[in-house]
Amino acid sequence: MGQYLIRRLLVSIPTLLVISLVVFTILELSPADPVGNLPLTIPPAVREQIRDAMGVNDPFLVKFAKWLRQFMINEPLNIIEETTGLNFAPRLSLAPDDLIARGEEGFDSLAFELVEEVESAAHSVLVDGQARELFRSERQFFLLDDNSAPLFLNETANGTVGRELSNDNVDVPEGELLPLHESRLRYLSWQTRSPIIDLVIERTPQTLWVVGLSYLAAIFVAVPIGVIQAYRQYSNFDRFSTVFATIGFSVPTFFIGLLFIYIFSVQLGWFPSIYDTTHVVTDLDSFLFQLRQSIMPVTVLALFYMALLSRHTRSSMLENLKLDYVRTARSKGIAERRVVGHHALRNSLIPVVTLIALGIPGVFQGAIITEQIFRVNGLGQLLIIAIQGGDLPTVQTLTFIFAVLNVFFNIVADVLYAVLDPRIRYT
Amino acid sequence: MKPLFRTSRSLTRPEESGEFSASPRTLSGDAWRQFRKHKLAMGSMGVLLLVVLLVLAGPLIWHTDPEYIDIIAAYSGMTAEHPFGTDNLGRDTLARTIWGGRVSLAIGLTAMIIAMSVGTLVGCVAGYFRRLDGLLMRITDMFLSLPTLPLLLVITLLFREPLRKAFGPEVGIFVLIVVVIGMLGWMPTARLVRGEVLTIKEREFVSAALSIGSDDRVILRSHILPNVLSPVIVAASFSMAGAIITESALSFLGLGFPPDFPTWGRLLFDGKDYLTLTPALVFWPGLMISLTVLCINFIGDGLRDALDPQLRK
Repeated sequence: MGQYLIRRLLVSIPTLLVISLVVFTILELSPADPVGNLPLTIPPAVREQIRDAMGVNDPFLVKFAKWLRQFMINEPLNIIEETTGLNFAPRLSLAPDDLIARGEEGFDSLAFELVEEVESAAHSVLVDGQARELFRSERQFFLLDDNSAPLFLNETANGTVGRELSNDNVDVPEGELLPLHESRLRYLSWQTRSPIIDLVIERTPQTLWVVGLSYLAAIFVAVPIGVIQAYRQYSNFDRFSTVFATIGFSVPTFFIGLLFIYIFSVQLGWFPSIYDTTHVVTDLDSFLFQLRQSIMPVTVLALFYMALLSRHTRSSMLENLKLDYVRTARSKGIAERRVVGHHALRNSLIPVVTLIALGIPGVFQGAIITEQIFRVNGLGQLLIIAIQGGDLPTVQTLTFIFAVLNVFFNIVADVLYAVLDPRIRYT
Repeated sequence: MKPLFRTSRSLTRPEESGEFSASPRTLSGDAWRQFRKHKLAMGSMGVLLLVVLLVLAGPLIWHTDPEYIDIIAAYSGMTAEHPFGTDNLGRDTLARTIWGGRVSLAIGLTAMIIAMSVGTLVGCVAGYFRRLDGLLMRITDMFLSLPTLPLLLVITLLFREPLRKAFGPEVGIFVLIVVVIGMLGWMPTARLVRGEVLTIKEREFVSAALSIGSDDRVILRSHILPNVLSPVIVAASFSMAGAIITESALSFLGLGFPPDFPTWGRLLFDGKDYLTLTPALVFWPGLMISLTVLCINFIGDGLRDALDPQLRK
């Protein structure tokens, strides 16, 4: 089993690599301009500088390698650090007083900022013939002068761009760049200029809440319906549910969503049509409100999977009820309830459980539309906003996350199937 | 209905030899007989034909220009003059629904044809040529792990402008959407066809064809392909339903066709902000999508039962 799992995981690595190459290439080929959103007053030469600083003009493979490194190593570490509070990179802490930068010729117009925490030095560079350590905090680079006061190399208020490592003001001769140890980069959104992982972490709970609730609802409604349908095949209940299921996955979610809003919000006024994203659950009342505002998005998203799962449960149950072991169980005099609910159901659920695992990435994608209808500020909405704003890094990150979900739950489904069904050999 | 394919060809035609009075039974004839017993599928066929008729012949009966702006008549409810109401600019929703239907159906049909062609081709080649099997199935698996909707959104956004310049705003986006939906939807068919081909190529008639020296292309085209057609036809119906929904979803997110170009999804997107004023704006296009997709799915169910010889009574 362990060996099977390891092999399965190893196979998924090239798949992930190829997928990331596809995602990366599509976005690379695209004509979208990363500086397209900046004010028109910025002269073309400066624009070109910004592009250079962003690494837009690097060779394709270099960019892909950087991107991979960022996604496979840096960002997961960032997530872990952010959610657990652990620290992997050594950091240099300076007292806030030290960090108020001193103006100096050429650096007058730089923006100074109080930095609370500073990551340790990444490079040593030559400034005016003197070797200095270059430090990097969240978004800015700085040097320490003789008195250990930092000189910031930074974006300025008037729009000119701060000096990157290789820029003219900081003289960096070839071969003099000495990487001491790398401080970890963060992938920034072009729209908000904040780390994308922060955005993702901020929005994940809402998506998880909607997706999780609706999937649970779908499972707990669909499985019993499927079982009853199979047990009473060709009954009116069976016929009705089959037709209902087909309707359930034929009527598009956005239409059901709009119908729900019209009926339950506009006409009846039962539920709010727009999800209040600022709502905080503090006591029972606010929790009830949270439930009330979640009912519509959750139901809309759940309907499709309810239809799908009930259909599969039904057919799987039908197959099992015909088998000999069910007859044996009945002939032993086991109560009918137990024959169906215990013997047949347990075996019928094997393919259903696999399907449930396989469906999870789909619910996340389905949530894109549902979140858009009810204005839930989840991952799907973030993707749509990023797409509309031409924010490529964010789009790349989210698409990649969706792809990882796909690959991951494929593995989960395979492993579950192997675990649940002893007839499957781990090959 | 004309027979799609024959199972057997006698050397002398029965009507010439005078032995049989009835016309020969064909596989497609049998399937049709079986299909007619499926009441839901037959009903859906009728409704779908009506929808297609409305969309194709609608402009002949309903002369209102879908682009005609009559700001005074904006947000009119369902009246005799505007049976489906009007939008915020006073454009007639019935006329727009008719034109939108043409686009939605055309997209469903074309994307389905692309998905089925690629899927059948990949499936046949992978199933028949053992050397290519591993590689093609890896590619299929990889495509299956791609996140469809996000990728679709990304691609339509990124390549909208160049295609618009190359083919004009409408045709460019039509080509883009159709190709992308098709290329992200062929994988299940490829797997299905591969499985079928793997069993069929072990049959005696394939060995017979090989032994008389037929080359691979002939065997694939005239012996294997007709035998995998049934599952492909069933898959085609579900694929078309899926393509219509996907296009509507794209348009609903505002990333499909340009605003002045009605499709059912786009009408929903435009109408959703006026839900409290005129729900008809959302109701009719939504109903059309749902009805069409529902009918196609029921027809698919009927086809599956009809084309499965084991179910035939």
